[in-house]
Amino acid sequence: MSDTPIIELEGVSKTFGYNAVLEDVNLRVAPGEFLGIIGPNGGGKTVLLRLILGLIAPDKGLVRVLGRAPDEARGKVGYVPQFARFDAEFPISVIDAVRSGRVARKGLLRRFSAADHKVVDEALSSLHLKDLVDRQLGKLSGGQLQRVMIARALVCEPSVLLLDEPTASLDPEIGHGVYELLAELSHRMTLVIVSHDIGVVSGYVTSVACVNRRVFYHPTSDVPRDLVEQLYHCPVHFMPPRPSDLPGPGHADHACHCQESK
Amino acid sequence: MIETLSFAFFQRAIIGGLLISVACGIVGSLVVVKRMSSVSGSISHAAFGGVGLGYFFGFDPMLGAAGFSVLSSVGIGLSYRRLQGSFDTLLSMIWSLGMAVGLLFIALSPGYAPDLMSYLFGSILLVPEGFLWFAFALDAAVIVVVALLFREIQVVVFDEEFAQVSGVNVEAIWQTLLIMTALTVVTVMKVVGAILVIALLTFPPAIARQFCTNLKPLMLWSVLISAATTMLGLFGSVWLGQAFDLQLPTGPLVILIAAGAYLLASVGKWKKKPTAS
Repeated sequence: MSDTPIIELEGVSKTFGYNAVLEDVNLRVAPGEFLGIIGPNGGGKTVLLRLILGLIAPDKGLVRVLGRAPDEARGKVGYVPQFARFDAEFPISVIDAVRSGRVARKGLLRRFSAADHKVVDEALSSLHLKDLVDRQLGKLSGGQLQRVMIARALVCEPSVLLLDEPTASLDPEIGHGVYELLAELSHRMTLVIVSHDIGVVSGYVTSVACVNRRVFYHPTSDVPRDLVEQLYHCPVHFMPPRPSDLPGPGHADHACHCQESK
Repeated sequence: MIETLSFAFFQRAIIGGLLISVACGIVGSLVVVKRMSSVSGSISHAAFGGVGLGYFFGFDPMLGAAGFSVLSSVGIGLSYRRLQGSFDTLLSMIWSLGMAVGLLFIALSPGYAPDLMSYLFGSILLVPEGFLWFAFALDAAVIVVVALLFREIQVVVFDEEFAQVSGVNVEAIWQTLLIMTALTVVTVMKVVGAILVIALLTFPPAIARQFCTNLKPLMLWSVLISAATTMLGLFGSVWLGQAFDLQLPTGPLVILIAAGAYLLASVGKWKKKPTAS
């Protein structure tokens, strides 16, 4: 069980029209890993994520999540979408939004059980949302909204959490807070985050997959600078210092890198 | 006015107006928050194709409308996921195709179609008793379905992708919503006509959204606002007819009143927030 990869892609290709978005992608995410999927915009990061989520099917190759087809792994995967993918003005309170992560589990025509409420309660307190439960989503700050989305994914009790550009629309300081939170969560579960911002990501993740039509996987966050620059076609600055030899996945303790370095 | 109240046709109009407001407010709220007004527009115009078919083959045009709208809603539900980019095109095709089929068959039907206008622009003053039972059954069905599936519906309309990833049967919920919309559209058509259905479906929730921050109160307020505007339109048209000899159709009047209320609500909200943040 423990050596079953959480996510596995084998020879995956995806084409839209005449554009090969992903070509012959191989990727293996082990339990406990904190993987950053990085790459320039339009490089296929989001497509890769949607393949893993089972929202689209590959043209070629095999996608496995927890050893199963993605749509059979539903409910074991926590998904935190980009802000642009849902309506933040939707008339729903924080508590109902978080509870909605539990709806599939409760079963049709059933009420939430005491266990459901307990899980929701724990997620709310671990993300410091207790005081906001009755607030409407549209009245939250960006950082609060992101915490609600993470809480909603957590109440699914997932084995792996997938986040799409979790800090894209946040102030750097608040984004930093979100990463601190994710670093904490990474002790408990496998994390995969998609970001175009390699500089920020590299301080937290234990491995990196660079996506630009093809995928280059690195077991540590120490991605060779020349590769990244080749990927982005421009010089890249790594914001937090990059510890060159991180301990193995899951044990990484690199929660606080405050000063800037180059 | 008092005298008018004693007429059976007028009493039926009042009951009919109140009954459709229930389904209209609940389903309309979902249409507005899910931003699927073009879907409901498409369904309502497709329904007109069924009206034409009914004329031509000599069955109840309402039955044809119900059949066409449900069929188109199933078609929309099935193609929604598969078409993605060209989905919007499909909606406008169904929209205009329905109208074209309706107009063609009506032209082919022998003789003059005297109540054609009533399907295009509604005729609440002419509703038969059978319609009231239909509207009542629809209300009951909508209330039961929404009450039983509220959480599922809420997660799907809020964030469809998340719902799917978390394991909710999104397709089934979508299809349920679409069929409910189709049946509501046919019922509301009786009051405001095929062309104005979207307005009555979307104005009341759009007004309620100005002050409701949750889906359940939004539905409740939409029902109340829908009932109020329908009644105002109904009594307004009778009053204008009696006092000024102005024979105005009820449907468009209802829509104008709803639009006016929306404007007032927006201005009220806008005044409360002097500086946009």
